[in-house]
Amino acid sequence: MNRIILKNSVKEIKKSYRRFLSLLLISMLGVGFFAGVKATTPDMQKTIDAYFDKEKLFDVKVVSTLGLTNEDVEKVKEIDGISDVYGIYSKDVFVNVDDVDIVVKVIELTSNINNVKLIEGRLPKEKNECVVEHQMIARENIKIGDNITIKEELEENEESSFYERDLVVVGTVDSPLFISNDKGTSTLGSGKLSYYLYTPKSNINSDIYTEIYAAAQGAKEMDTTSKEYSAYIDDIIDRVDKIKEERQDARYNSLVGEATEKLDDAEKELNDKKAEGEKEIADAEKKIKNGEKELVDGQKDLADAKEEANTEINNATSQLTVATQTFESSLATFNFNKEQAEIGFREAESKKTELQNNYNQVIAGLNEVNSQYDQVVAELANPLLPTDQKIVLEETKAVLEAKRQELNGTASQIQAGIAQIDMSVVAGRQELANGENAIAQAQAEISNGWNELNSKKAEAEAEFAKAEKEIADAKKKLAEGKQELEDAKKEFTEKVTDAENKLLDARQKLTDIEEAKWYIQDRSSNSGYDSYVSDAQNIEKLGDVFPVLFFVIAILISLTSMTRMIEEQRIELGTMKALGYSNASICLKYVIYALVATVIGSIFGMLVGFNLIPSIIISMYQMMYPSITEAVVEFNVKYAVLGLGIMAVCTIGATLYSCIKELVSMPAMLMRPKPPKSGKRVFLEKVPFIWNRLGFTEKVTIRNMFRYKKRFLMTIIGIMGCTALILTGFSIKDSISNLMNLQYDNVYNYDGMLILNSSLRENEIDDLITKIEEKSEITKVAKTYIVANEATSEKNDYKVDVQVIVTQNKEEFSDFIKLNDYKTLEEQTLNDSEVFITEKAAKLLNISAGDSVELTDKDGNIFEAKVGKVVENYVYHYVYMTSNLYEKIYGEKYSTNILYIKTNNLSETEENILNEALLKDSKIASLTSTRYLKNLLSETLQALNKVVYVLIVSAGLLAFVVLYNLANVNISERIRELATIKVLGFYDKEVYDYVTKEIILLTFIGIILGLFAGYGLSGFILKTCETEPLIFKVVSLPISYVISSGITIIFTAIVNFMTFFVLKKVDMIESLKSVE
Amino acid sequence: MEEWTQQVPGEVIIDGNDVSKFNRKRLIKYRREDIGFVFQFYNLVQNLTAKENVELATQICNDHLDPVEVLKKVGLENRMDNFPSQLSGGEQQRVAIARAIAKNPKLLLCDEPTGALDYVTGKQILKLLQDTCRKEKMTVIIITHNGAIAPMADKIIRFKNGTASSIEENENPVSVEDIEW
Repeated sequence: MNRIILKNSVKEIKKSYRRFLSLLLISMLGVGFFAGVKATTPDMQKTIDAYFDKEKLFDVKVVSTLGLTNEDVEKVKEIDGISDVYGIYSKDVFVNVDDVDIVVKVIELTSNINNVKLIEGRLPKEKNECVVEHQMIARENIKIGDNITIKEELEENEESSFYERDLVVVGTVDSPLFISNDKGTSTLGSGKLSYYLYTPKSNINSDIYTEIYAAAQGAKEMDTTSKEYSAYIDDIIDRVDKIKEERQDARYNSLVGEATEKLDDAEKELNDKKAEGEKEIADAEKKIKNGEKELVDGQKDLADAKEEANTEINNATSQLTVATQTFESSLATFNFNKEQAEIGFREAESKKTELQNNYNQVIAGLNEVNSQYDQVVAELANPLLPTDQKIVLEETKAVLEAKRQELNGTASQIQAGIAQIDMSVVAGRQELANGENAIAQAQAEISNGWNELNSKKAEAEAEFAKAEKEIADAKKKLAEGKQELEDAKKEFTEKVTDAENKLLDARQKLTDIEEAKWYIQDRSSNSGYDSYVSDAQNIEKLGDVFPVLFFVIAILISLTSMTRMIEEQRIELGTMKALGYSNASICLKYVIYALVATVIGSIFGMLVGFNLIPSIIISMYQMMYPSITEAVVEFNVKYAVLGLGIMAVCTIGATLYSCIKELVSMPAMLMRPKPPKSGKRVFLEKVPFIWNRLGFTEKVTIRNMFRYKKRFLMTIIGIMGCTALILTGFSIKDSISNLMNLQYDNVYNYDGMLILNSSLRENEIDDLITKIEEKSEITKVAKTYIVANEATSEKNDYKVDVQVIVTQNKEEFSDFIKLNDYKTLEEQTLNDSEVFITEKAAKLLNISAGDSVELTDKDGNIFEAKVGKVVENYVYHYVYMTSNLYEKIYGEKYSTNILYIKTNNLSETEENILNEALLKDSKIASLTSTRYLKNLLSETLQALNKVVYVLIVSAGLLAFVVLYNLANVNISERIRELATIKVLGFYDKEVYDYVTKEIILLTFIGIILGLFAGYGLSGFILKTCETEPLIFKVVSLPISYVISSGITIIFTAIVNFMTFFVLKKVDMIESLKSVE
Repeated sequence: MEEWTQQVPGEVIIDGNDVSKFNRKRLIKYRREDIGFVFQFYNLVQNLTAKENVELATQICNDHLDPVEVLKKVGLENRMDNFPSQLSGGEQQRVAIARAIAKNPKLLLCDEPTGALDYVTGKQILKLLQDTCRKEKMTVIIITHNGAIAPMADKIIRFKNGTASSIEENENPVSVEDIEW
């Protein structure tokens, strides 16, 4: 029997394959979408769990305000439930890329915990190597092999935390510590951490850790997003909390003790140095005194020597003068004598001349005598000469001889006289010469004496001069030395006081050291983890709405299908009953039919849904969470059973209900045609004005619609649902893009934000502004101070991260950020007594104008401010105030750290050029362009947009299946009627119109209702999806209405087109058959 | 009718036209203008009143009769605005006949017009058909398993196992009133 029923079912399936198929498709869509979207959240959770397990992400993290030590690590390790503990050092630094300082976290590379995933290149081995976040390569102008330099903000005397600060990028990684593009905050730069990089431990110059990461025993087996895991980790955190106090104190004491010791050492050293310095000064002073004495001695010596020398010189001079005088007198005497002598000489000369003359006369007489003699001799010699004559001649000769004798005597006398004169002259001359010689000698002696004296004098003078100079030099040197000593003394005192002050300061500071504070955190401290979890939950919320709608529609459709099918087959039902089959057996056929369709459809749906939808959605979220790349897509038994179960229960329930409803009747009743539903007049007929104008088919259509209320409702609900879903999809998309437009057009008016270097003084900032204002592209500049705070209120326990924006110029502030009342949208101006808070923050804190808000700064100080206005804003949270109010509230002087700029409607390239030029100024630490932010935000929101496309496509498919199914039901239900009008001679087109007019009308009604429903649904879904920092204003662009309607219309058209062919095939023989 | 919808070997010649050679459109046009059809189960559109059911036929052909007149003719002047479900079987069949003849067809085909009716009503319907034939000079073909009706016909064609077994002209067709079954 069962075999036959089974066979019958199979035959039925073959016969009515279209109905079967549509039932199958609708189950597939309903279950697939439901299961797929529902499974997305667990899949996302499993994905992150698998990722964390794989990379061994910590379970418990400890950070301390005073750093952590090895001892801390050991103590944490001892805690029950903790398996592995690692101390890690990390530090936020600047990395300069393209003249922009980017805030980057440098993390010590470890294995065994928080493992990085290598994307490109290799891991660093040397201490001058690093791996950077993969995104950094993608977004910044850096590539593997490049050198980057890290720049720390070091205090005086602070050592760098890294041995190597010029690092080679050897690879790129993804870290499980930062799964989101948003990496949290930093104390550097603009306060936003941009990237991270890892460097080996060997490059870390620190004996403390900044973080302790611990793995919990057995936590890996638990799902990180599960309550079980949270509870387990909370227990461990409680246990860590127990050792907290002790460790904090230990750290504080060791730090203070160490520092005190150091300070004591320093003090001792200072005192030593001080004594040493003082001794040195004393020595120097002594030396100077000695020098002074020596100098005085030297001066005295010199004076003595001078005196002595002068006396000596004077003596010598007087002696010499006397000598000279003596010499001069003797010279005069000599000269007189010489003159006398000369006169004597001249007299002697004249005597001599006289004598000579006499002599010459004598000689001449002699000569005459001689010649006479000779003549005589000669005459004598003449032998012929008479002897008388000879005697006369002899006598004459004798006389002559006597004369000659006489003359010779006289000549000799004269000659002797001459000789005597000559001799005396010579002697005189000799004497004179001797005298002259003596004179000359004396003169020489005297001049030598003078010379000697002079040279000696000169020498002495030179020596004195030298000595004097030496003394002067010594004096100068001494003076210099004195000055130097004075300076040194001053410096020394200064240095000593300085050092002493410093020591005092240090001691003061030591007492200022705050107690160590431990922060024990779980994985939610991981930047992005919470947002990932909440994103997953958002999808879950989405999954509560969308697939349920899908499901409801699918169930409604399959319900109608089955009911209709059973109604069509009442005769068979009756026959079976008449044949004696039990009600259960009769129902079985239909139950099998429905079950097969549902189960096959559902299984297909699940296979597709479980695989496709989560992977699509997860891959879309990858844009926001780039490091989560391996999607875990699982067959989710819970939702499989739930989906299939609900679907099957509903369809089978509907089948059984219809069967039983029919089977209560007697077989005979069943075999007779079911009394046709009576036609009814519709209210419209009471309006003849319209009714009479309607064409014939219109009338039929309208009547039909009211006659088959179930089908009518089904169609409308189906189409309404689909249109609503599609419109919702588009509305979400519109609202998201509108969000940016609202934020960037209605709120942000500025074009760029310049983040200034923190060390600038007010006048430097003014200079910078003047310089910036000179640029023609820039129309306006505003000094602003921005700081991140946490806002709370008395109304609830909510904590909101807000940016406090402080302006100096409240009048012109609207040129940069428009402060519009969130309700009236009227522009507001800040005042000096109240702050303005943005809409979402106010809502979260449950406060409104007139209430007060508490702002907590990063040091934990709490300030209270009165809220003046709640202002329009869509992204993030802000608190606005004037600088006067800021100073009043925070008790701190206002200082500019941000400049807002407005530009002249620049194109993107122009803007880039301007920004580049601006960033060349070292005073500007970084620059954020509004355009860039807008693009970034739109990129993030794109992910959600794509999810929306999934919705749209699915809703479209659903629309198609619904319409197809309805068309089929419509035709099969009216097959007799259609065959009849065909017999009556209706053209194909007319038959088509006869049927589809109704569908078209219903489609339009459905679309219109669907557009309303869609608007409502969008609001609901957007509220559901709204994440903390956002406000979604439901916006559906007219075009979205058009497109949503269009898609439904297109599907209707396709279905109608298919109907046309189905109708063409309707066999007129059907009209001859008895009513079944 | 089978021949009109799907082609089988042979010819169907009506009024000199080989209907079997007509294309789909021509066939529809032929049905629309020249044929009236009365079904065993009336095949009225439940959603339309009697008058509207007649109008359903007349609105698609040009040379039609006035629906009200026709309905009066079949004796339903008081039931014109009733829906089929408010009519008895005979009345429904009369609406169906009215619908068929309102098109003013050349040929009126009736498929077991009395099959679903009781004796008295069946006779009334047959009378109506015979009157229509006589008065309106319309060719009426009645297909029936009820051999007792045969004597009222002008021409009787008997089928057995799908083929015509005999064709006979009835010289003296009897009036419906005289037929008993």
